[in-house]
Amino acid sequence: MMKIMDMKFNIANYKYLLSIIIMFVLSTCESMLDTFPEDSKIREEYWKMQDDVESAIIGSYNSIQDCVLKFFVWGELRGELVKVSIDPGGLEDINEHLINEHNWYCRWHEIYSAINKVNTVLKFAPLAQKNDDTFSEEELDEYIGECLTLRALLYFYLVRTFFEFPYITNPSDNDQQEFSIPASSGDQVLDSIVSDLLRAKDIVRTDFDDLTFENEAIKLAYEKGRVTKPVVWAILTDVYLTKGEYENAVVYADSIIYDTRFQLVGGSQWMLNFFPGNTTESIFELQFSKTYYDEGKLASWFTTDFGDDNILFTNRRNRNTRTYKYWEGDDYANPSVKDFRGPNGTFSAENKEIIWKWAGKDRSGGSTYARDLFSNDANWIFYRLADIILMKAEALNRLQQPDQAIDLLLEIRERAGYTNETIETGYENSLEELILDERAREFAAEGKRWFDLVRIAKRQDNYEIIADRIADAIAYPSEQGIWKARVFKPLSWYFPIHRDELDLNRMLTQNPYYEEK
Amino acid sequence: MKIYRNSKYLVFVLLLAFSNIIYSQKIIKGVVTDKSDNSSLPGANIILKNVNNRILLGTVTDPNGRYTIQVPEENTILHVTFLGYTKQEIPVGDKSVINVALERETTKIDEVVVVGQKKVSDGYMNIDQRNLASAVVNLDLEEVVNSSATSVTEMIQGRAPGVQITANSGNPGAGYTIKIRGNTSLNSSNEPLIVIDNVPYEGKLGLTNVSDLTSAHSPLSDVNPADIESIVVLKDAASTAIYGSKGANGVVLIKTKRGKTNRTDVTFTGNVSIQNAPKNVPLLSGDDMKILILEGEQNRGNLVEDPDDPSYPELRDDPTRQDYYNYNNNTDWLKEIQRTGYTFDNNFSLRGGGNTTRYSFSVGSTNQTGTTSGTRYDRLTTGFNLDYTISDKLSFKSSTGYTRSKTVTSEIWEKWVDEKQNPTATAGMYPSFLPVYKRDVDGNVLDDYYIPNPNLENNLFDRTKYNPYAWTELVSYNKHNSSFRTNLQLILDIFKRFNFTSRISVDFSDNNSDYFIPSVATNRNWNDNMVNRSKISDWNTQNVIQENLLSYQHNIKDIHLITIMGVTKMSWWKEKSFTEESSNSGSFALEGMDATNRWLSLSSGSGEYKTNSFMGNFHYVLLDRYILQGTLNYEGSSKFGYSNRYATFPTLAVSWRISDEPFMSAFEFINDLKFRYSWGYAGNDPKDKYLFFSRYSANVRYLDKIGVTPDNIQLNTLRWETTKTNNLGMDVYLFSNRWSFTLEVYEKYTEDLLMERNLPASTGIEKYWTNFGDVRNRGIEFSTDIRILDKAVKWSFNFNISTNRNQIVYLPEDNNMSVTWEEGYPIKAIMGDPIGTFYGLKYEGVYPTDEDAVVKDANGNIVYELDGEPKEIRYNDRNGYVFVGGDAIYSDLNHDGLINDLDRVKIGDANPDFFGGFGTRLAWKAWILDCFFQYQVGNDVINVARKNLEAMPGGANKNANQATSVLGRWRKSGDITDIPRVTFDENAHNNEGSDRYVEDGSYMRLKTLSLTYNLPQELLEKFKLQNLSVFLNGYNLLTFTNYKGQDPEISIASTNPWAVGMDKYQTARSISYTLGLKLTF
Repeated sequence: MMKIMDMKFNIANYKYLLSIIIMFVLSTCESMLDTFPEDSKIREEYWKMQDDVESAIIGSYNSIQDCVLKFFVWGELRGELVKVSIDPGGLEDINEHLINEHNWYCRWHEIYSAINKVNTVLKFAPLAQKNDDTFSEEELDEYIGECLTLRALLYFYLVRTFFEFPYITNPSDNDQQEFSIPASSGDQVLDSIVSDLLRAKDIVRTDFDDLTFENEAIKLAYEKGRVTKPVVWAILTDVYLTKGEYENAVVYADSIIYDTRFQLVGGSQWMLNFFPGNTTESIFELQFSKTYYDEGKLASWFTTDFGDDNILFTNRRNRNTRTYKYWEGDDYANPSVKDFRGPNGTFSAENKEIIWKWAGKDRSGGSTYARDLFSNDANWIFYRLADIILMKAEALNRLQQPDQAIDLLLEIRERAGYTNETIETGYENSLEELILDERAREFAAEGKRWFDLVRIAKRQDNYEIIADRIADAIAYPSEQGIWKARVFKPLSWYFPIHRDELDLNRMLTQNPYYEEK
Repeated sequence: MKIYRNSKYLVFVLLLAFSNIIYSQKIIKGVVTDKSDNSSLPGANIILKNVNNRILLGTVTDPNGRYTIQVPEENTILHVTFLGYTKQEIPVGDKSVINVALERETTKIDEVVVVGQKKVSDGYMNIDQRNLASAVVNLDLEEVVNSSATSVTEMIQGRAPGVQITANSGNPGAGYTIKIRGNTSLNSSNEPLIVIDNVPYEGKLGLTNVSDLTSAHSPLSDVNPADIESIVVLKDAASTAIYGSKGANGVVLIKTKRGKTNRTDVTFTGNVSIQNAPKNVPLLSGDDMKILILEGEQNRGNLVEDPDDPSYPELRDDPTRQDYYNYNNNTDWLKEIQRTGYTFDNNFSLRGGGNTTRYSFSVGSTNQTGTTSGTRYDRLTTGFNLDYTISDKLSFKSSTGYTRSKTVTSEIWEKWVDEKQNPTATAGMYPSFLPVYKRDVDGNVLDDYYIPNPNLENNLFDRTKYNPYAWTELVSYNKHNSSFRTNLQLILDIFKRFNFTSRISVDFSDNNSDYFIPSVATNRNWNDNMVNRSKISDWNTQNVIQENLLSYQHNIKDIHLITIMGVTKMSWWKEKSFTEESSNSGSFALEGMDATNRWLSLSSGSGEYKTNSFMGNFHYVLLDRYILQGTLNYEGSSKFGYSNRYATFPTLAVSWRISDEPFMSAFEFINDLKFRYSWGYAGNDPKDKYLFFSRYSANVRYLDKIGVTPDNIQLNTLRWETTKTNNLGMDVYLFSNRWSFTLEVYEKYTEDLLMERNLPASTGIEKYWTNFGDVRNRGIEFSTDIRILDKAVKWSFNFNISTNRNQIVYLPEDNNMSVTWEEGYPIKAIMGDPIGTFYGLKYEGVYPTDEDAVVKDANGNIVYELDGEPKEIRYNDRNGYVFVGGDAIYSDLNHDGLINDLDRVKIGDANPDFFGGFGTRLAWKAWILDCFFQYQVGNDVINVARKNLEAMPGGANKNANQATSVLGRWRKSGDITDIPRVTFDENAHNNEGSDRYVEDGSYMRLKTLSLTYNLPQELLEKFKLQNLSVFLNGYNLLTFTNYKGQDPEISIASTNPWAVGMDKYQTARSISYTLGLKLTF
């Protein structure tokens, strides 16, 4: 109190007081509690322009890349062609049809993660179009069509793998929405898939000719690696064939077959389909690339060349079995007939266990380092022309046009190196089995076998289509009965829903086959 | 009227001015003498302070011991100090001559026993501990001051009740885990807040891609133990409230030493220690291990005994083989990688000051080599504290510290290989028949390490293990940390009772680490991604906190003592990180990013987070015996959405000093008896930032483009996790303060647990953060100090014990089964259980014969199949592995013939029943003997090291060396033993997570034993020294435990509530001896 009279002191004091006040004011400027991430954008800032939609679709494709292991395991391992060599856990059980609800491969999270991303684009892309004047309605439609197609394809995998599962078309977006969604049946979902695809087929891109690319290779990668009209047609063919609507299947198969962009590659060049891929035969393949730092894992499952210690999957070539013949090629014993898909095609002649289709690079078959060093960039092939041709054959057979079906079958066989072959017109079911055999030779280890077996077994209502092949390939004669019993019931052809998923979503019920167990 | 009023003021002002003049003219003088011989004392310090304890003026006595000093205001107190003499405080009053006779301070030279009543600062308010109503521990540093501790945590381990501290490993520079009063949170952090000189350390907030750094560095290692003035631990909500959400798990306050007026101290301390590892678990010799492998291969039917072409020819003792000498050794790998460790620790400090300026400068260096080859720790600490009195209204204080450290180990804990590369663990399992160095055909030892190519010899070895000695020599994982902290404050006395403080705290820290695994250390094929593999990462953080404090303190005639304080606080935290991983550089001489041939990963991250709080505190003491204190904190965190950003957390505490009541005067032996009760809420925010927003990040690729994906959903409902604490306490001082004890009983109830809840996968999202569930902690803490003898021989004893019971009170049904698997054990959070409960099979020994491995029903009768054969017992499902003679017996609890998840039951709890420490100190003349024990009782530990060393199946531990205990294994049908057969078969299930490896982790450990010699006063004077002491310390000399592993002190990460005590073969804490010197002049 006394000191207030002292002027000298006062000035000094106010100087400090002032600096304290300045400190205070400076710091209160910081007081707003808004912080925004630097490494990412918040949703309110996203969906402003066309590029945002494009990037989100690229993100969706990336998410689909994560599904490749599931595509392979679900579509291949329950069939008779591929054997699990080293099992990190759960794979052998699938291989041997001893699946339980704790098996990791019953988890479907990668698929739904991709579906969620696609659903997010479907919901928010129109918002971006509103915000961006240069973003036309037609361009928006192309993106919508692309997303509908991808979603249809993903659900098609779920239809073929699970009996019932949630069909979700809304993105998961905030913590106030309902997360436990009840299941729909596979048949219902197939109908939704068809209607999505029919809508998509009119609005998606035809090609990428309107865009400029750095080089031809990347343009090709876009043409084969993103959804265009032929991709929609291919999926429609497959879906209609599965649904048993053969006429429709033929219509969309023909759309592709008569599109001159697609040609079968010559027999000796059959390996080009897998290395480097993106051939004229290819319709849709999920792209992986070393150049663009986007490598996959596919090839590494079949070789140790990428530094992994173990080979996950090898071929199953037990002598004196039908499967052995598939791998070797029908007439491998006869040197005059060469199936280009046999040794050094589908498998390595040097190390016969190795699935050369994915491990190798050309027909040499002997190199230690088969693919280009460290370039783990094998594409995952969804559809190629040979597939469409055989699907059409299958449909024509059911439409009582066996001659035309046989012509298509022979087209594939001739390309593989068989000459002057004839096939006697057989009974509908037996011709179907011939087509099924041909599909084994052509698409071994491409993740199609199990779906093929189930489609035809269901159609013929004959579980032995599956059981005979599996028992023949895997079991000793004395044990074949046990093996057949494992696939006796149609419901056993579907995977169980993983136990964790049932626990987290009480609206779901287990596939009854696994409940009985 | 107007004039009248004005004149009144005028008169008032005149009076004041006049009185001012009168006072400024007042001068006092006197002589300072030694009371014993009446000799005058030149150079004694004379300080004049006002009632608020602020220094007004100071002077020193002249050569005749005389002084003169002006007295500027009323109610001043004269403080007279002289080194070696007891300080005197004399109220000036009306006196004009004050002669002071100082008494020689004899006790100071021998030993100061700090008794009872200490002043405690919570960093905001300075309150006598006797007037606190909340649970606060003020650690007595006197007892640990001469310990050779290189870190603060070592100093306080076992000494503070309720505070559980364990080192993460025995390696030098290893981090520590601190937990105060149990786990309150399931998914947020349980780490206490550490505050060094008002600078809070945020802990290691959720940064995902620098996992190794988070576990490695503790802010506490940035402080030099020699610089520490005081350590205070705040435990209940009433005391931590002032730190807001960051203090929700307790607060550890550390103050470093500051300069003192008119006194210059130069102190030097130097320590030298040697450390040795405790006894190893005995392992099989090379010869025994070869037998084990062959027996195992025979048991699984893989052994070919064809004399011309036997399998495993290397192991057949065939001297004609070229590699004979490489496969016939008896190497003790653990011995090979162990050595004697050394520590050199030197500190220097200079402290002093005058009336307006006081300073403290210190520098310290620590250089440590660990007991495991290849480990090192080097640290440089510097500190500078400055106090400057600008005027009697304004003062300035600063504390600054810079620390740089480098930790080197060969342990690489990463997920990219099957097994983490921990040389100690590898040494335990590496084949003992292999040599350290290559041997030629004649058995001569060559210069190169023997490292078999794992790609070629994969039948014999676990391919993910490498020559452990070569590994420690060739691979180093360097972690560098530098941190800078400063705290600046301006303190302004606005009016007599009002005080305004503004302060800024800044903490910068940079952590970078790198390792390089040269191809020669692994000898793998050149295209393998383990070849020349390197990782570099950098993580730096900035933390800035600005606070403004307005306080009011009023003492009304010693009847009412009121303190009120308002605080505004803003904090801003930012981090940046970068990580790069690559491999296959052209040569092992080519290290670093530029040389790489193969990129494995490249990532960067950044984050920012702010909090803001407004707080009101009051503390009221009536008649020195009724105390009421409270806080109201309104706090906001940027981690929450707009609607739930701010929350209010109140606390209230009352205390009654019953000993001061008139009716207690009959009990003269009671010096102080106080009951306390506190209640309050504290909030906890999630460890992750930006949780609220739905974020889109561009980190994926397809074709030639970068893709964007949504990372998470928008969290509209996320809110604060709150913990309600009730604390009942009692402080007692008896028999002239010779016996004191404190008792605390508490309950902490946490609601709205922040937790990542799993979502159905069909949502496309794995998890989201939400609030659910309740956790309760209840506990009792007791500590006591007794001065048994207090004459020529001084003998004191201290003891503390704490117990905490943790329970998950509520979890929604669908998350009852949240499970994390670790090392084969499911760790579950289940309603009713404590956090840290783990599950597993019940182990019941070994089936003597195949016939014994059959299913039995609940009554013990054999179950038969339809074909009349006894039903075989299987693993997991009806097609699973069939158990045979020599296999482990697991309880088939539901008698379904399957050993599976349904048979996995609760087998352990990682929480101790109680823990604490006790010590005793004996002082006689110049000698002090100190010893301190630490103990923990009733915690279950999973001995993973033993699980691996008695595993004997294949899998990750293929052909691993084993402990000598497996010599008692089952070998032939009919053997009765509790160690199963050797199989090396990955399908056998003899090594499942079972109670076989769960051990009682109780222990009692002689933490320190020290003998100190203080140079007697006469000699000190002769050498013109203030203090010289020499000490000899033993650390971890004795351990009493039934635990079978090397070291029962196993840390449980407080950042991860799922963590349970697992002995993963971390380097054991060493037994160490230290010789030290402390010199002050």
